[in-house]
Amino acid sequence: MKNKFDKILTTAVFIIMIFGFTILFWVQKDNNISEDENRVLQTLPEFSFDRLISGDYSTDMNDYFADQFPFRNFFINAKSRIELALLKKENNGVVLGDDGQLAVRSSLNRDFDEIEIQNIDQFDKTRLSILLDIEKQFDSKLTAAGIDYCFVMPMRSVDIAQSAMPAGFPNYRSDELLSFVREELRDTHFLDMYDMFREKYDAGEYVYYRTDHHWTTLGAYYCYVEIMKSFGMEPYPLEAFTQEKISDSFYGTTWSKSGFRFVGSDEIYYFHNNEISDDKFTSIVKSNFAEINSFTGFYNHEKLKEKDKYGSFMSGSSTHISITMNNTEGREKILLLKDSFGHSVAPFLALHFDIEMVDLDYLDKGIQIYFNNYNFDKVVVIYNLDNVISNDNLQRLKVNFEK
Amino acid sequence: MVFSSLIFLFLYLAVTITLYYIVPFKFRNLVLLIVSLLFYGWGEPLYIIIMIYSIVVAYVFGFYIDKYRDTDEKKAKMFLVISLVLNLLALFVFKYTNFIFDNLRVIPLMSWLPDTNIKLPIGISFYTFQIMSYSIDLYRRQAKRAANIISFGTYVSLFPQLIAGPIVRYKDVDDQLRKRETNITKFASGVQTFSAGLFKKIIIADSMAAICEYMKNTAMYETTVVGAWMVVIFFTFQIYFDFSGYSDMAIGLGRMFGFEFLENFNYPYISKSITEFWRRWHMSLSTWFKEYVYIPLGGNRKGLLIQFRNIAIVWFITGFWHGASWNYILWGVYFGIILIIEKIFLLKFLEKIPKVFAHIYALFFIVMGWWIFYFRDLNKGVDFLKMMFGFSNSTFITGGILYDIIRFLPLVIIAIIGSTPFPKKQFKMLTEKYSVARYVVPVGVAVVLFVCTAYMVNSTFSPFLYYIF
Repeated sequence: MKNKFDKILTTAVFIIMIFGFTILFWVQKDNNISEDENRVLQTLPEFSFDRLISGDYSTDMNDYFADQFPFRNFFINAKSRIELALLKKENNGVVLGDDGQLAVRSSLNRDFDEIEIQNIDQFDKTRLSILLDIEKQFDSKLTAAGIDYCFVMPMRSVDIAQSAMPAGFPNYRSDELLSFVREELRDTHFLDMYDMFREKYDAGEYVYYRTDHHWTTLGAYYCYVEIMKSFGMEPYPLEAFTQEKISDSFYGTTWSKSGFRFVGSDEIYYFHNNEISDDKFTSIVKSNFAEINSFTGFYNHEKLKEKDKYGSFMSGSSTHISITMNNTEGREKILLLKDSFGHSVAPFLALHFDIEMVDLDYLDKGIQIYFNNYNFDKVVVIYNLDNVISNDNLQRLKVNFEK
Repeated sequence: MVFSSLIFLFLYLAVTITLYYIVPFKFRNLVLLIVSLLFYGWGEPLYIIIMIYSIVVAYVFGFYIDKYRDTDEKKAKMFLVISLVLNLLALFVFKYTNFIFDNLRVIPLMSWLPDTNIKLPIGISFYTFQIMSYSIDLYRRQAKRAANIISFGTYVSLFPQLIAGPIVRYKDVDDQLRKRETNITKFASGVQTFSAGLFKKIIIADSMAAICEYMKNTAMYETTVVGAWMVVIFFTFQIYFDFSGYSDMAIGLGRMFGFEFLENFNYPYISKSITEFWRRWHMSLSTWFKEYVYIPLGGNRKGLLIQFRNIAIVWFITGFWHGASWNYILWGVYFGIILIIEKIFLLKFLEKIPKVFAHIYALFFIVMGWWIFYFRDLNKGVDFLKMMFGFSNSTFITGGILYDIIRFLPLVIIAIIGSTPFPKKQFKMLTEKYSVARYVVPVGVAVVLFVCTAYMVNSTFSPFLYYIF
């Protein structure tokens, strides 16, 4: 018997683990959402014969197991630790830089059965060139129509946080992208803030979140300053704002994706102008130019209770939001075509302009219709580099001015 | 369902083990049959019909082959042929129709052929070959007729080897289907082999798969010699650890239920020639072809020319078996040619030169073989080949590629060591010297299960290569 003890132990270990987790899985209560990953989790799928035949049932059941597995977060963290122990320096396509700086390097797309990996620290020059040509035409049409214009492409974390990347990291790839963009957009109204942002980042200024791909409110402020300067206008100085820390527990999208659960949280600040209080502004969410919802100021405090706290800026993404200052007339009108990077810039611009904020990704009827409905004095496009190299939405900048 | 999924480990397996061990032996085959059909039906609910069709056909005609084999040779042969044809028909229709129609449509007169889009039933290539071995073994009097359709159905659909082998010959498990022993030593050994396979599949093969895909994308933007080689080399690791890991899991699971299957891999990458490689790689398939195709064709007994013809036929079919695509045929033919050349003179030469060169020679042609295997689109494959040999404007290496190589180095070292008998030998030596070392196994099993569970919970990237065959 004694010499079989190791066999018994092996069998016991196996049986206890297999049966233990099987029982635990069915005994424990399901979660509906994952706070850490900011998404709805798969719950027990409903059985039907049709769904079984089509294969939907087994797919959902597989997801159900992965999503509701006991100690899910513990296992996710453990996997990221093992990947680091293997010296891969990344997990799930996210690089772990100095001081918990996270940066997305590749992403995994799952489209039914097809799974593919996209490298996002590299780009296709031909494609990018075509997209930027469309933007340049937009630029010249606006200029010809006498509308002030500027184009902002916010950096990705991988571009800005070069100094925090592991030794030997191919930073030259983002340098290539930046110099390509600069070359293509020379002598246009493109606002090149790359060096400025990198300098500020390297000087230790908190301009980008570590756990999220967005810039911080301070980063957004610097962008606002550059936009104002390009229009020949005077921005409010930094001292004109009171900074309110509204969260010190922001875990962003990059953090969720990375699995590095041990990386600490970010802080979120609101900048309040000392002269003009936020409640003088109204943000109206519109659909087909009709109001469907509105809120005072720029923020949705409810979203601070959720995981994606950046969503509190302008209440997250909507196709069209009008931001106006109450009881004022004759302010200049600006069209802000943007992705979510624009949400934290809008509160600054609203101090000077009435804003029609339109989302390039959610745009359903083209942008022409906005030009037909409003007379804009100024147009700003804020569309981040990740979006520019991974989707074709810049094509939507096609307009005609025939007056 | 696949072994490397949470639902398999933490629902299916627990239930199956429970059911299997609470029923008396005479119902155990039935339990295995039912759970195996569920296992198959989980991912392929409709195609289960094809498998049942194949089982019934072979079982019924097996009855007649058995009935006449001693009395009426001609009739027995006729029933054998009908049985084989009906089984191969299912394989042909569901695996090769798309490919054949696609190619015939190129001919002007045939352009009316429809664009059939038949989805390949999982495992059909494997279970069809198993079924054929039953009919042939019966006819050759090397096996007894299956006791009943449940026993035969269990043999064909047995979930451990159902979808990716090893291809178990009927005569090897005939006795086990009637009577087999289960005990703790066997179960523990099954657990050990299964865990090793799980580790190979999840920690090494899946990582290699992701790296391979990533490096292929990288090569689209930065054409470098080293980068191109890395894709093919990572695929070389991926396919070995994927497939041998799956075989290990199958063998381990089989043992938990009392079955003994033959080994399917024997460290193929330490070969010193391609001939040796094919004695070590996917052995159950090579054995199948040898016994049921090569030897019946005359093997090497009818002169060198006939032998070369036979090699050519076997390797064409081997390639085609791997997939309905030109690159697989090319892959088979490629090895057929190398094997013939080795037979003519190269083997003798390889024995004379220092071992290290023979290893380099074998590895080079193995890796080039995977290059053919990897690119289903031949044009893409040729582009890649140019990149590998520096003919397409490619630089040798970039900083980015170097950074990634260094990042993946620890995994590569684990994979290299894991491709050799070294770990097994060390473990054996250790246990012989110190009996405490035996406890490495239960600890190892616990660690592997824990780590693999962490990876399964986290990852959605777990493509399974031999699923497509």
